Amino acid sequence: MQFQLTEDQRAVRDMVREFAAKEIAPVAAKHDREHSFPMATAKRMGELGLLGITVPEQYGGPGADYVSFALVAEELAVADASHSVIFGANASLSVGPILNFGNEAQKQRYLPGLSSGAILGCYALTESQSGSDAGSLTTTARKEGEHYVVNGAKQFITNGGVADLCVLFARTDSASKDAKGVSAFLVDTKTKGFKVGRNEHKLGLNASYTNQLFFEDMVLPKEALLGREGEGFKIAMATLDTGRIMAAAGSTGIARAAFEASVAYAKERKQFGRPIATNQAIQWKLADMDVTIEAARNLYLKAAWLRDQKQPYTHAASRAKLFASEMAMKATIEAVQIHGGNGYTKDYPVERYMRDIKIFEIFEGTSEIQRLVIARHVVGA
Amino acid sequence: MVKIAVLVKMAPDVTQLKIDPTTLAPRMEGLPWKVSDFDKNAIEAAVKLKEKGQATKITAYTFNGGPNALNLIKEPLAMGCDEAVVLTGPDTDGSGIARVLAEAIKKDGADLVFAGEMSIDRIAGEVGPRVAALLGMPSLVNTQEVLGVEGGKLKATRDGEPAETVEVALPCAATFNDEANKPRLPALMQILGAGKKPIRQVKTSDLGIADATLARKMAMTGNKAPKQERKNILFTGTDAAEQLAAALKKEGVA
Ligand SMILES: Cc1cc2nc3c(=O)[nH]c(=O)nc-3n(C[C@H](O)[C@H](O)[C@H](O)COP(=O)(O)OP(=O)(O)OC[C@H]3O[C@@H](n4cnc5c(N)ncnc54)[C@H](O)[C@@H]3O)c2cc1C
Repeated sequence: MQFQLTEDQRAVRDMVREFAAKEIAPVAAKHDREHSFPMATAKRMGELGLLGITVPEQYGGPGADYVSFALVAEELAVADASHSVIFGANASLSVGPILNFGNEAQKQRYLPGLSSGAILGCYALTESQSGSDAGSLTTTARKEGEHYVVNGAKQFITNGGVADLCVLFARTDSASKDAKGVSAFLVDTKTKGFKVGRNEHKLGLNASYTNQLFFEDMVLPKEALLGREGEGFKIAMATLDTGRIMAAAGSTGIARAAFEASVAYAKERKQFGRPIATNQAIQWKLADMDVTIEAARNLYLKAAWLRDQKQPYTHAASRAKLFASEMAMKATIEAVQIHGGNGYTKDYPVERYMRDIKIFEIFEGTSEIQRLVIARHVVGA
Repeated sequence: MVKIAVLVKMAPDVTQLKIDPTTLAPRMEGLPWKVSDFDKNAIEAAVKLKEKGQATKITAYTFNGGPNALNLIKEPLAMGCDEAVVLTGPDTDGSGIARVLAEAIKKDGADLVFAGEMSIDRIAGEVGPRVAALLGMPSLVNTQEVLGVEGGKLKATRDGEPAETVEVALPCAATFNDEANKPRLPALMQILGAGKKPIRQVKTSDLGIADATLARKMAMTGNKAPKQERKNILFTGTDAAEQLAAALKKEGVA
């Protein structure tokens, strides 16, 4: 067993760590406060080749593996969870469907731009009445000759307000009510009938846009279909499997940031004449964080490694996502506790970590849905 | 056809250095190594010239860069150097290091020799100018901005108030510090492509340098961090601030 990163993986991680510390961390609090999209650093992620990290060289990407992809998600999240999610919506949720299910023309058309950051992508599955039960979506794509006509609305779409390309899931079989009638489309967001709704006011992840999208008689050429008709749900779920690795890695990064801040604070802060870190009550919190962060990292690396080995990784990705997000939720709550009153103020970053992490227990499949997926592997379908 | 040689030192990351509180000696074990900071400014200056079309080839030279040198040298390659020469030989001092580098560069040929002003660990600042002397090149120190290479001359500004503008006939050498430029973060494509660039491993004996001639003439016999003596004066009372201000003034701090 080779229990270490390759030189390339380490070099990628080190570069992103430096980038995140030097360029993202200094602007993270400001974007959080102002609820502004960090376009400058998002474009830098493109320049550095992060936004299409797994895209092969022939389509303009660096062709890195999924272990590197996951390491990037962790490093970005240490500086700012929003950046990690902006990265994921592009590098995983938008690139993935095209890379794995696109035809040659679609790959050539979109992957170079998604890789360089020239275009940003979003992934539109969720609707107001269709969340965990994604197969019940009601946005329709009606075939009319050489075209599809799309009507409906999407909810909670990351990057929705800034995206140039939308991977859209809509029902092509009007007779069906379940997952079988769903198809995937690649939509230029400038298409007539594509409308962007409000950017949600959220608990956290303020620098990442989460939009409603509306489609009003939006006409798509038949070339916009990704994969075959009826294959949409399969594409959506396959994409989420990789997205879960990203969410697990991002969670690990947020927890690491909370942990590092807590260790530093506990050694510095004195009460009763000595650093609070000398109290076993504080030490045990830090020890628990140390162990569970390492466990989460190993879970997501295992899932990413399985994916790189082209072995089944759905179960592993669900385990990693569930454990890492719940671990990080606890870690950030403890981080605020260790910081005391200071932790509750915006003078310290830990309150942001606590707000930002919550969504990781909800998107890319809630904790309950992860347990459902895992239980299916445990007790059989 | 302007060829640039860049001198790159691998050094322990002194920002992570811890001092033994009893012996005051630096704890070197376990310190990660990296490309010495100012050398990245030299690399950046070279890569910029190449991007301007005023240099054709950049070769990075490193000598005795430790067990991880072959891996660390990928960073200069990712930043834009075309090839690397990883030199190894007996432990030696600054004059020996300069000789090894100069011999290697003489063999390959170079019109420009760029180097960091000093290294992060030894802070000696001797190797760049020594290599220039051994190669019979004029040596520009404290280089600020490289304006370009034109008509067989390197045009640059030198650090200072006001900055000097200088022209130096090629071949020549120049050293850089962190004021000179902002070294780039290489993109993923460059990082993953760096391993495909040629790396030549050369021993000092391959260069015809006899080991005995590299024997140290200068050696460090001790290295202690300065003792940090604190005054531990406590000011009390309602005029504590005034007392502190007065004490600081007396010390010449304010
Ligand atoms: C910031 C943010 C970004 C997002 N980004 C995207 C995006 O880019 N693209 C996209 O398509 N979507 C996105 N989403 C949507 C997200 O994936 C959904 O919110 C999520 O899947 C949950 O769906 P829901 O909100 O409808 O909750 P519901 O499905 O209504 O769930 C409510 C609760 O019921 C539980 N529950 C539901 N079904 C079951 C069951 N069978 N058994 C047990 N418990 C169950 C859930 O676990 C949850 O606790 C985003 C959401 C947010 C908030």
